[in-house]
Amino acid sequence: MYICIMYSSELIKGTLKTIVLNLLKDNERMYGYEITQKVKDLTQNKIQITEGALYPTLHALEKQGDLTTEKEYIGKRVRKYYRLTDQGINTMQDRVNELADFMKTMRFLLDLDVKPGHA
Amino acid sequence: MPKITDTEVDFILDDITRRGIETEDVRYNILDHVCCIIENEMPFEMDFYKCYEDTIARFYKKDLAEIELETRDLITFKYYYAMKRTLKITGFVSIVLILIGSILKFQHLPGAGVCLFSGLIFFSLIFLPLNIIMKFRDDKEKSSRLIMTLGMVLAITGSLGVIFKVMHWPWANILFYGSFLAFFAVFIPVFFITRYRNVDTRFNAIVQSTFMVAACGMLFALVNLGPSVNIETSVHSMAEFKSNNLQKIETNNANLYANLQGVNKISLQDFMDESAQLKSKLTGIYTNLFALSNNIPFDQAKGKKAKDLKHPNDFKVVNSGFDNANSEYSYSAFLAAVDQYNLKVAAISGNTPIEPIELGELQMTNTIVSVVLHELMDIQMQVLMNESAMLNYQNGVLAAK
Repeated sequence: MYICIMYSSELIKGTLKTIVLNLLKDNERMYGYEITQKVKDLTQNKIQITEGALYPTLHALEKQGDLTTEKEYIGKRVRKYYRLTDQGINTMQDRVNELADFMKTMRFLLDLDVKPGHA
Repeated sequence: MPKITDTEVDFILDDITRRGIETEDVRYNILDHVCCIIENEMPFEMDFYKCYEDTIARFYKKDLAEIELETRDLITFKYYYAMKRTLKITGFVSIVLILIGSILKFQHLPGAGVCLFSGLIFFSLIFLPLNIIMKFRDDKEKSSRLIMTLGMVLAITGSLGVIFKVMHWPWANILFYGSFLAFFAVFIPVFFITRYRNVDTRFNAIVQSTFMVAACGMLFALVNLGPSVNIETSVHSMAEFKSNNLQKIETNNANLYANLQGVNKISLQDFMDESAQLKSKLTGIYTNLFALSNNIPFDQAKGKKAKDLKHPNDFKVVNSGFDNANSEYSYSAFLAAVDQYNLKVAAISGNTPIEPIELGELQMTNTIVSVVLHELMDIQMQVLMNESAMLNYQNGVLAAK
């Protein structure tokens, strides 16, 4: 499944969960379409999450207990809102820290003037 | 586009279901997402069906079912790390238990069966199935999955075969040799051909197939190496030799007894009757074990020799037909007959050279049928030697008079 429009999928692979969890930290609850739009807006279209990648990830996070859901009926449609659980907050923190550390290491590795360290 | 109508919602729902989205939650997520896109991003005047086709195409690369499969994959492997940990632990526990079990078995110490049994259960019913699931996650190619499944299933049946063999359960040989043969004749060729075709895996295919063929060949040589023909012949000739000796002494004793006239005949008669009773018991046990082992009627087994046993290493027949039997041919009946004989010997021995039968360290239970038959022959020899000693003693007494 594919995430981006500007970056290669190999580059961003593995960050989708972190992106989703972090978005939900800042926004109390969100539904799928809202998440894709938010990422698009925040990254000025540089990253567009595809639906094919988003929903499997949301379901996996829900099953893992990182997210909880609320359903709202709009006529015959059902809208599922996702919210971080306490476990999800911890997972989000771990993943963000891990990614930050990785980015620092990469910047050092690629000689971008930052020394590696543990976040 | 204006707000999606209920009819259009039904249409979308039916279509995504038809396209392979089976999980209800995923279905409703996609429905809402499609509706949001159509309502917010599509031109107002555009036809709904055209909008829908354009929108739904954004959800997949080949077909919509990709989302369903990806979701299932992610959910199935939710416990990936737990499985990995379990795999490591069960692998380690299996190895330790199997090694300890093998050492105990080698040293004939108690606990070997329990260790081997639990180690092999861990290995075949937890470690190997988990291994298949984990490999499936890493390799999505159908042919690879097929080979892995075949290999793992054969490994599981082979391990179960070993468990059955260790526990002396039925079907052990069928399970073990069946899986072994299938591994050698089906798995290795299929593995080699499929991997050899791929340039990337060609070298590994040659190396791994060579390892497997060599290992199978060595194992095959080991499991099929029964005693050599020379050893078998020597065992048979020993049985024949013993049998002939018994016959000769029996005839000799009969002649001696017939020629004896005179002193102490009553006491001698008493002893010879007791001796005949024990010999009859020994012959009965011998014949019964032979009949059970070769699966023939008792009468047909009379006079048969140990070399004619079809399964000389048969363990079960000793266990069921002798050790734990509840008949006149059981081990306890045998011990009772020996005790009775020894009592008679003690009562009449006096100055005579006859000796009681000392079984000592002789192990007649928990062993194979050919050993028991040889032991019975040896005891019979001892009885005949006693007879012989008694008759010669009486002859001497007679001559002295």
